[in-house]
Amino acid sequence: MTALELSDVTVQRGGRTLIEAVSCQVSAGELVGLIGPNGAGKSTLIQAIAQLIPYHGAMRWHGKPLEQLTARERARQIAYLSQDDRVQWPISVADLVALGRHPYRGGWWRGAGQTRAADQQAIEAALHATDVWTLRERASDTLSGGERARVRLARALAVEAGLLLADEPVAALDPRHQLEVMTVLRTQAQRGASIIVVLHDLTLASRFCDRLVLLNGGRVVATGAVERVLSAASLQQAYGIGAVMGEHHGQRYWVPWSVAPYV
Amino acid sequence: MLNHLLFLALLLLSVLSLRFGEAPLSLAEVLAALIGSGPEPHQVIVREIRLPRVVLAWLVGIALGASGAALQGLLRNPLAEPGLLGISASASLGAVLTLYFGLALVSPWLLPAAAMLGALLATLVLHVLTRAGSNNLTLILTGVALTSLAGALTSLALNLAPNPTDAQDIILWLLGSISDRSFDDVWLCLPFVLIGLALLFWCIPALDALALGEAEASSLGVDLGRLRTLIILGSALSVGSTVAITGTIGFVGLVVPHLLRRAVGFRPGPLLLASALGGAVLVLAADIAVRLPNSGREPMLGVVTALIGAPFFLTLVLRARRDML
Repeated sequence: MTALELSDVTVQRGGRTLIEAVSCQVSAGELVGLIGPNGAGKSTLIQAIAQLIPYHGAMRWHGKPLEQLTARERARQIAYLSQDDRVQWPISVADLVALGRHPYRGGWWRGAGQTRAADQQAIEAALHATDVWTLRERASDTLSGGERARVRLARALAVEAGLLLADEPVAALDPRHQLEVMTVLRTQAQRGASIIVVLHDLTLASRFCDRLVLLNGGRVVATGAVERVLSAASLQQAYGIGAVMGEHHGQRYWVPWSVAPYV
Repeated sequence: MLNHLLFLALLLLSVLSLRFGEAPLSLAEVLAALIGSGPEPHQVIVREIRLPRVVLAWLVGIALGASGAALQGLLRNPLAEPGLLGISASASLGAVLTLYFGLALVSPWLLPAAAMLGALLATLVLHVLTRAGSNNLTLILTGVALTSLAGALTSLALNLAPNPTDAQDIILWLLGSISDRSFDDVWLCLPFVLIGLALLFWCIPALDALALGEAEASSLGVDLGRLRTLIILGSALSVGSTVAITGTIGFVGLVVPHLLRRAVGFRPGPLLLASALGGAVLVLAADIAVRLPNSGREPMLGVVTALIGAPFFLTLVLRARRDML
């Protein structure tokens, strides 16, 4: 069942076209990898879907135009994890994750200390899902890069949104933390969420994603099953690289190999 | 818990403030005067001289503390304070101009009215220049420009003051004080302070969310443009109207949020209420301190808050530097 549908989405800024006529669909329970070289427009497309920047074209969420949602409805439906991993104040991990419940929060008269039972449940579930429960008392400025990545992911999960947009959540993480974060995303998709994740690592993309969308110069070069998108021709066209394919326990994976087509 | 302690301190200091002065009164005498019994002179001293002073200290402190906390949260810059936006300086300029042209003698309402007009004009400039698609940097730069301009014009007024008494009036007003104020002054600024505070407190959830940065805060439903407008307007109304009555009282808006930030777990939202109470505590304490020497001439309140504030600020810088090394 199609959850998110983009048709002819175009983003222009300062007279330049950053995203041109992108159309794609994401089903419920699907983990879609958004890949492409630097400057391809991956982050721009994610921000447009999150309704953070203006765009032309249509976006539908379960059949309803996204721009018709109120700010609060939209905030409850779409969780967005940006590339910028700074936290502005050294608030505690628990407080940070609780910010994911902002779309459910009332006015100032309801202090942050008195969170509703549903909020508390969502926060605890998110802390456990990303395995940061034991860090909950820590100040966010004392976390390592890997811990911070998981805590920020927990914040996004706490929204309990149907659509999760994650912009390079595994950049700058060591292999173990990369696997952990991707596994969390995989699990969330299995529970029914639609997830779009921006990735640079083709091996992780081929290993974890159900489908891939390959962007280059703001256009979709290839979309669909992993084998199709990571074909020698489209890898050469988009990245100018060749990759080797391997197989382990029936699962295929790709490893970037050469700056020329690999033969 | 923290807020309860601050409120308790505020009440204790208020009682102290009502007792202290040229004619020290006992607690019983103060209470009797408050409820309208006791000797006539005591009632006049407590209800017409000291009580407005206490209420003004509350209002000034609450406005400066809340606005400082809100601005630091909005700009995510620990150096932000109400003075940064040029609202205080513009309000001062309005007041100074009435003193310069001798209008303050025509009607007691003219000086605060002119100061509020100054604050309002500065707010309009800020709003127009930071309206569409702008960012925090535009806001800070506009504020710096407004502060410099208003400061230069104030200096010019001092420079060209027709006679030394005018110049002295201007200087004394600029130093900031809450002595010799009446309930007329309180009623004049109270509505603006209340509206301004309501706007600032309205922003508490959004300020919390802003800890995640602007993009993620927007994705959580925070309207950044509206948040900026609300905080500029709230600061202008509350701080502008109190500056109009008391003159410039420095460092409270900067120092108080810093003092309390750790105690509220660095959360920008809860910091707002704590800073409002803390600001009132600091101003009230400073106002008692200026009366302690009892040498006939009080040091001005604005001078004392800056005397407490500046060394504190230097230690803050030193500590930050040590953390970085």
